[in-house]
Amino acid sequence: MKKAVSINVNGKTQNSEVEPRLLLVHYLRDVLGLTGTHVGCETSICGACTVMVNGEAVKSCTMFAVQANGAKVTTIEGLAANGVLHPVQEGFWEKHGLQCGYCTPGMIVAAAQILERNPNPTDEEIRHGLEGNLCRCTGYQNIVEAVKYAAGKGKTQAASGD
Amino acid sequence: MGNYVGKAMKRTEDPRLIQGIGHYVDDIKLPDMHYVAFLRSMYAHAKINNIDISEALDAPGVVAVYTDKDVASKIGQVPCAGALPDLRVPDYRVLAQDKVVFVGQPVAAVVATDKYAARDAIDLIMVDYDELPAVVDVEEAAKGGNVIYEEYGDNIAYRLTSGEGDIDAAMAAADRIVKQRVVHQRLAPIAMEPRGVLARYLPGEQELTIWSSTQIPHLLRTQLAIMIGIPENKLRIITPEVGGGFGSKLNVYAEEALLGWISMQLGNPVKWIESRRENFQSTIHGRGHVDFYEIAARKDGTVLGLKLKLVQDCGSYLQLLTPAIRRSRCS
Repeated sequence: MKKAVSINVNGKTQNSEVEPRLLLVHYLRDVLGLTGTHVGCETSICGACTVMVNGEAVKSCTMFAVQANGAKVTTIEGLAANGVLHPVQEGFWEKHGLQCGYCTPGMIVAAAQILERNPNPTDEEIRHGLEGNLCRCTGYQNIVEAVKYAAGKGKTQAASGD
Repeated sequence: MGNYVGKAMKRTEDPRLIQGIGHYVDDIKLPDMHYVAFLRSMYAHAKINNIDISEALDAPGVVAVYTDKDVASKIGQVPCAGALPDLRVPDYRVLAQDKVVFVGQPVAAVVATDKYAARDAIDLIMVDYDELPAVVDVEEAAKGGNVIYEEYGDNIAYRLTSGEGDIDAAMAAADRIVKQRVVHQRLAPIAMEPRGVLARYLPGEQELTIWSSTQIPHLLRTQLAIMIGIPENKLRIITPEVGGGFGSKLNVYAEEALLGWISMQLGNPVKWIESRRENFQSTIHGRGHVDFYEIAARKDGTVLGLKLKLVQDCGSYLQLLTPAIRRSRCS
């Protein structure tokens, strides 16, 4: 039997009726059409499906949509504000932090959480923070550079009072 | 040219990828689209006595269930492009015929209006198997023992000898011959995006469009037209964003032909997205060979000759380019 859920996704409240077993990632992709969040492994290992749920990076392939009832969810589509890229998105573009792009949305969401918790992380802290996200193309070096770029960007903004 | 050489360039495809607004196969949704799921072999080698699809056919949301009986005379074999002398190419059917020869081999295809329903119905198909001894070690397989394709008498796909110079003279002149066995382990390429296929047939125009996460759209068009039996100019292959391939998507797969054919039967677009488990079992692997090296050398280290015997695990079936890759390594 379907259950009613009300989930705030990228700032907009969505009211839907969903099967209790519907995965959050399928809710986002198939019900709301937000296909930027990808499915890579269905087992919480690869991190391609990472989204923010109430401010925490969560792997949406192993969470049910009904568990997100009442929550605030941010997906990759919700990171850029008014056409301006999030500093982490900008970093990935500037530092060639992606090739095929499949892991990228999850990687960017996880990286955004790292910087929210620690605006000035070391390389080691960035690598530790991204342990749950797999990339097969880049070798991670440029991903770390991208996150550092975003951290530096944050500092510039803080200094200029943005 | 002067503006670009030696300079770091920002990629033009990145804005859509970093914002999650690019399109991989699974991101494309068409009206009246159905979903396909596959029942796959749980055995490495087994005889199929019977497949009972009746319960699956009655399951909620299920539109059709196909087995070899439905497709044997309709879809051609999965192709191998090798043209080596005496190459043995087993008849690779899109759905298993009388027996299965690898874990993950497609046995039946379920079409349903919802992907969860398609996956559920898979569990309702009853297959009566007689398990047979499996062959999993390439060196053992080469010796004989359990033969997978009885018509061949052994498990050897082909033998190839090549080289140049006088290796016997080099060996005879050597102060020392170094012998080494080197194992190159089997690897699963594991692209972040599993394989996926979306097929749409327009009965009026008699045109089939297949979206596939492939590395070879052009080759795929030629091969699928042959397999499905439609004119090549009525088949269009679209490769949207591809989430990695590493050679594993450099192949023509049974699922690609099946999806195209199923769409032609039903008149609905049909989509299949590979699960990670399917990806490990059914997407092609690489390497998996055992090399025996003999190096003829002088005391001062000068190499006079190199002899290599390579035993290659070609898998249960030859894939599109399996023999060609091996040949290039041996010459």
